[in-house]
Amino acid sequence: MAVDLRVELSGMHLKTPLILASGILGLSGRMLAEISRIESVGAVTTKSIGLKPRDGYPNPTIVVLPYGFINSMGLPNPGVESFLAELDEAGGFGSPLIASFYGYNIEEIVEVARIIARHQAVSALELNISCPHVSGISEIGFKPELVAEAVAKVKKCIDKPLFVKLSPNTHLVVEVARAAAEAGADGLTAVNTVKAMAIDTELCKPALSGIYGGLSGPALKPIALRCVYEIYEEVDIPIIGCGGVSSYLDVVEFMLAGASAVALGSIIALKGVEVFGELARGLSRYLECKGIRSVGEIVGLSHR
Amino acid sequence: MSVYPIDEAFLDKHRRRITRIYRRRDECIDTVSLYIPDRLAADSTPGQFLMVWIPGVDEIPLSVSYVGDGMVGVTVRGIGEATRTLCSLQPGDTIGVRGPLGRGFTVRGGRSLIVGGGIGVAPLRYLVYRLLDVGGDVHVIFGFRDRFHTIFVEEMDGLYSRGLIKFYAATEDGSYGFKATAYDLASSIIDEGFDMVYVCGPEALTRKILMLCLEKDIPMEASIEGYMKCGMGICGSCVRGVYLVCRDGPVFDRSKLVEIGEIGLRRRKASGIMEPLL
Repeated sequence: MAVDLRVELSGMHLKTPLILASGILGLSGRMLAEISRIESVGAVTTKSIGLKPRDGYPNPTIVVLPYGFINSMGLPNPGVESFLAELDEAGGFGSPLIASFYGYNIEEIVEVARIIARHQAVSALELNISCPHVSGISEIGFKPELVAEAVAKVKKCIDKPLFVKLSPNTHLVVEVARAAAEAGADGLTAVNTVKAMAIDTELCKPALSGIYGGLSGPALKPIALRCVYEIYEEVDIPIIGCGGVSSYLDVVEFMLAGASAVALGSIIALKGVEVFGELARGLSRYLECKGIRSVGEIVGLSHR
Repeated sequence: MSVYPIDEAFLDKHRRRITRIYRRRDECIDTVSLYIPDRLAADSTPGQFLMVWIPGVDEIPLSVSYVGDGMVGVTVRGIGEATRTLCSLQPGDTIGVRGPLGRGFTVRGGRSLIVGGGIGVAPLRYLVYRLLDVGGDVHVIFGFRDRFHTIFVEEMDGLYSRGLIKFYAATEDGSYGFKATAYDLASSIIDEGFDMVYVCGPEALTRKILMLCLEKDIPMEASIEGYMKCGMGICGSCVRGVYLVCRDGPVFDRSKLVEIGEIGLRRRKASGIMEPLL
């Protein structure tokens, strides 16, 4: 039985539900285009782009743990104008490109969205209001009314689907999700990393130069899964599940919880982009064994 | 198959191992070699690099310039805050290291030509010894600005006088060795027939040697730089073309260098913005 891994996500047609998460390898247009052409990649997401260039924090910017990573990159990005030039020379994309973006206030968010949405290579936008290590970003994402205002204003000036990437670092995750949906967001990405830190026991100092970072990898997965499940109960727009996916069963779990697609991040440090193929094959086998024809059929199944 | 928990080897490689500097040596007016006892880093192959952490300052990639007796050496030119701080460190001072990281040079016998410019000679010094270990016929060209900036030339002269290598040194002003560039010397002997050309230096040099090796159809490998952050192939900061310097490099073969295209022309800064090199 041939199973169908294609999914439709807010008007985008994805070959598989597997998406390259924001912040992973997404600085270079050429690199993003190359990854987007891999057969099992459903969509690729850029690093979060701001209005102006940002160097990010000095190193160390990452700590490796047995069950995940803590990163404190500090949103390095070339700024929206340079990034558009980057996309100009990227070559053709083999799957939809989701442009992640951020701003320090609503005006800036709207400005970046307006500029980045103009590029023909961009299929959808993802508003990052959840970076846990740059101050001013998740502060917006913790306030449902600010998120609603940002989403409404962005939607007024773009004609492409808008996703909102949510923070797990608030008890208001469902409220924020609902506010985004009611304000006109086309989808939600759940979730960003959990605010975390590490301390060097030799030097007796924080291990990351930015002190705080975001925890990703399997340590994050059960939290992300819970967020997706809760949001699916309350909100009707599509969800991209994100957080510690490392096996096809993790993909299945996120989809059963209500995710229409699933983004991959940390696992790429350990397995490279070849992991997309591995997970797609595993997902197909799972569906075959279950006698399910289309992957879309398992979305939200655990809620019944 | 699950990769979690992350295996001990990966964790060990990326754990910042705090270590004390055992020995330092001033190589020239702005360049210092630092030697540290680190069992894991001493497994480096030529061309691999370490992420060297100067607490409170930065963590930067440095090629391994020496391995022996459980000791690993890096050679650093003081040009920015992190490198200048490193150059000021004394034996007993503390740094952190992780690695060895990346893919190094292919070590094999036969006639090889090593071309280094400036601080780029650092990984080539270690390569020379490994090529000699496998019985290679090793020809070395090192080029520098002037006699105040020469690195490892006495050491290479020593190997030359023992008949182990052929060695040519050049300075742009002629104050040491030939008055020429490393490229000039390389192009003058390239027709002697080499099985492999190894390069590390300013990208303008790498680019010219690349063109030369394409013209003469000689295999070539070059160590190049990228703006390094995570060092584990995930953040994308060090991307050159469609390759990550930290994971796919820092040593690339001729066809990949051609594919990257931008060698010697432009490079990314910390923000990812492209900066022209010319």
